[in-house]
Amino acid sequence: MVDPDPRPDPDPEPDPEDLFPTFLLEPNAASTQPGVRRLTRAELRRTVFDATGVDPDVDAILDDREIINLQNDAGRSTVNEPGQMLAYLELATDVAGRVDIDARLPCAATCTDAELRGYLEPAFAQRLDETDLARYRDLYVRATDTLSAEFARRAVVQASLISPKIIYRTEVGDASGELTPHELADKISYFLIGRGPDAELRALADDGTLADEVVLAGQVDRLLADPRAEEALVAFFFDWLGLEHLDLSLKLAADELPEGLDRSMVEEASRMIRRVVFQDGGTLRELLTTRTTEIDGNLAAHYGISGITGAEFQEASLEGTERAGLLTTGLVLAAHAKESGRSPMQRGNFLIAEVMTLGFPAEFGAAAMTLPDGVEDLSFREQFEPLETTQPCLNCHRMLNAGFAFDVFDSVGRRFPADRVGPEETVATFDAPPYASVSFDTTVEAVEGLSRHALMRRSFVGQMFHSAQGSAPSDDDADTMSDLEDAYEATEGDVLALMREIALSSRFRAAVEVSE
Amino acid sequence: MKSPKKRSSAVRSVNGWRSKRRTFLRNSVLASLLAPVAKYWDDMAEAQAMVGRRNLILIFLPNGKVASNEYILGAGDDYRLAFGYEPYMAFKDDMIVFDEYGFQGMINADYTGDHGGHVAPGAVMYSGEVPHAVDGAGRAGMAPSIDQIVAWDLLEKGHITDPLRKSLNIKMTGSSFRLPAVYTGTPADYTLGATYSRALDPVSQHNQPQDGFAQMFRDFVEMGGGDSLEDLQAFGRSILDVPSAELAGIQRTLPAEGRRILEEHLQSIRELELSFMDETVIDPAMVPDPPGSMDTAPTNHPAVWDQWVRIINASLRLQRTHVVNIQFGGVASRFQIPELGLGFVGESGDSNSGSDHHSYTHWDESNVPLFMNWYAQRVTELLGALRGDGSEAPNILRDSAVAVGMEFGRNHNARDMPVMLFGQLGDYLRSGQRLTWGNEVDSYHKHVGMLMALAHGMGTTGLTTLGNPNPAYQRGVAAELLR
Repeated sequence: MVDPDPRPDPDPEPDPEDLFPTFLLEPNAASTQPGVRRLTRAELRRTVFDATGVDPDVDAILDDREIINLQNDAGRSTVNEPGQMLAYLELATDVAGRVDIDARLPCAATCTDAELRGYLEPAFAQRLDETDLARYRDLYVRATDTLSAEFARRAVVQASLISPKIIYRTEVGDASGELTPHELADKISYFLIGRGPDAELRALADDGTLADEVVLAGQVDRLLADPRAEEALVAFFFDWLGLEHLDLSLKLAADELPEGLDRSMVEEASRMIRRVVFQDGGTLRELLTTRTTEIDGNLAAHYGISGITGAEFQEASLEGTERAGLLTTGLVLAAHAKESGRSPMQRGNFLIAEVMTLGFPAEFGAAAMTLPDGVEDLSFREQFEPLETTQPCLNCHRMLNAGFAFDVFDSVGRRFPADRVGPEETVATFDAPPYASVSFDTTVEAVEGLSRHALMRRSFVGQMFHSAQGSAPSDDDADTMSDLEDAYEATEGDVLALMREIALSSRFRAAVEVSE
Repeated sequence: MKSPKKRSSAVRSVNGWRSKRRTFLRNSVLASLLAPVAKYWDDMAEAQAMVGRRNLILIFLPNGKVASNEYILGAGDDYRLAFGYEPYMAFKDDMIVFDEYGFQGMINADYTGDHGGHVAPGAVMYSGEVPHAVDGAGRAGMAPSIDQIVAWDLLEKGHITDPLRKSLNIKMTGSSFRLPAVYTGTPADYTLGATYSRALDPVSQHNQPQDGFAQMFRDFVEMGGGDSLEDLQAFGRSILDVPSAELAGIQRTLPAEGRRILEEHLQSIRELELSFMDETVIDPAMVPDPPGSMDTAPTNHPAVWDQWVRIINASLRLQRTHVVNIQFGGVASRFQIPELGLGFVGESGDSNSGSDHHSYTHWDESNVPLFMNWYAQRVTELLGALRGDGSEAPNILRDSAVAVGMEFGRNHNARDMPVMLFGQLGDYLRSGQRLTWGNEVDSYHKHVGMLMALAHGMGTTGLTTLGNPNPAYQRGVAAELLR
């Protein structure tokens, strides 16, 4: 249930400009647009695969830098140690050693310029001028001094994969102040399908027609309908919600879990996102509240749902359970819980910092990390109640205690035994003034209320914009954000429509300012 | 084509690619690229003669919280160590022990984030600075740790000519709470003594001995007939001029922040080229056998540690590096030691329960010394390797400083934190002594003074302040440590 705002003032739907962006997490974090963006590990993996047909091992590449949860912070993603550069070189060498060289760089005899271009230009998604081509021609000639003919070709692939033309993309634009067609092709491609532009997009960039708004809109629609967009959007949700590094082996209950449960959890969440957003044309709210999922036998047993066994994923109804939507999947619940026991504060913090992208200002004070004495006779939930009304604890706990909404689930996402955690333990309120507070008695009520919350909309739109731009929204983006939120509301929260709106916005196409 | 492999499984003494690389270097534009870092070699001979053989090893042990904190028993120099520390007694003459070594006051005064007992001591231990707090929680180191400062200085002075080998960073598998690493790197803009008020990047650590071995000895790869992955690896050492030229072209079009990013990239390339040019000559017969890929799970910790001891020992003796940092797990780590045979302790469902070190500190302190003793055995295994056998393996513990720091003291804070130093660092440290440094506020500067002493002993004498800029902590080297 959604309570009316108990406070007569302020406005429950505040003017975005009054709050934005100071309400976001990490207000002190540098959020710059440096005009150059290093590919994330996932983007690099897909791009190298597209260029070579080899699926590279990107584990050794430096962790992507997070800013407000997303891992594509352009301003902090650098290669700043020789060891990191070596990791790129080793990846390039490994891929060059495995690539089907006769398919990717076929040369009748000694490679000609045309044959070199035939590999390099698709790999770099751009035309090469004579100077650039000469570097690779020289390298190829040099390689033939010490390597066999075949391996000299592999050396060209090797060098291309440590090229800044692969590792980075630029957004510096031209005299018009807008991205060049190739930069625009890169940007919509990485934003919508998480990899470099395909041949059709490259061709439109080459002849400049991509700058035409109708053409651009057609390409955005084409990419959103591309199955690769599903992979990219799943990656976005996993990034936003911090779902990429779940390691069930660290849980104390690890020995009780079936082999492959972590993979099942990832698959369930991925399927839910794909089904709701792409197949059903659904909204974020539907994704957060759906009572339908797809699970295998592992998860069915984990959730206590009967009738599903084996490795095949089957549709299952969540009606009658305490689960609804993405936030109650095993993956999310396990990813944001301690190694054992109950985790209401961890989940509350997840809800605030990751889902809602809020932060606690320093003036809220440090956490005591201890509960008051003399509360032995109270239930676990009751011990936290005074913190919601006592200064300075209430600053955080009036939001943080909302984590109890998910506390009927244990550290690996199972329902606690009812005699351990009863339904009365999930009663809580999410209260983030000046927004309307949301109170709930059950997990299902919680996700229903939170999915409608103005902060959920603001956070989601902000994070999607952030994903597109490689930097958190700044003061300069306030108008754009306001427009995007309005458009998002107009479609009742259509996820794909929001992505389209962002990709076609003038802010998206604007180049960064270059000052001397 | 040979099947690709990511790492060489064999170490060979023949470096055929070296001559080809030299030929290439003579004919390439590399010399101009290297110009900005040529100063590395300027004073190399003199510097090598001074302190080039000294070694610094920092070790971090998690969760030593014991209310009784039974550590040093007996008065004066005729002391003995309690069971948890007893293995160190074999190194009594090489050791400096401290009574009441605390720096909780620094944390109380300069840290406002949560978990001042968990996160802050781990950060302060080797950096002398409290962690950077985000949203009221300590999440990252805010100052470079002393090992990285020394490594940076050794590289600057040319004691180490290969940037890839400036330090060996090791983590025994275990969870971390908030701070993934207690060792923090020097930022790209670092100058000696610089301080920061932002989050710095932790060092990259190896879990796998195989990876650490490759870092220390990766250049022992030979070139075959021009058609193998090894040949491609060798050729890869000569192709970095291509991205360098491309980067320079892109850089010109960018705003200042973008130019900085690409400048860092360029610098990484230059340092990697320096690494490839490093021509350190060592007897190939002395290079240890490379370890294979190992299971790094807790059940295999002793075997993993054995490999690390072997690699550290060889790396220091062959002067592949002079700086090593090690942590067992991480801050507040639930470090697992299955071979102790201790089962679950605590209450089902309680997050501080389990079979790990952390759980026993909460539920059964009587067994905590078993964990401490296990750590002590591991550390003394390394100390023994460094001390050598007096004949074929000379004593390099004399040339080294090994600092062992533990996360907790008598409670969840940095009071009575057991810290121990081993080795003489040349003739610099006065080992074989027992010091009482006290837990009073007036003593907290001594921790910074200890770290400063390690830096100065390693030749980083230009360091005059370290970590937290609060003048109360900056009183220079702790003189009582010195001979």
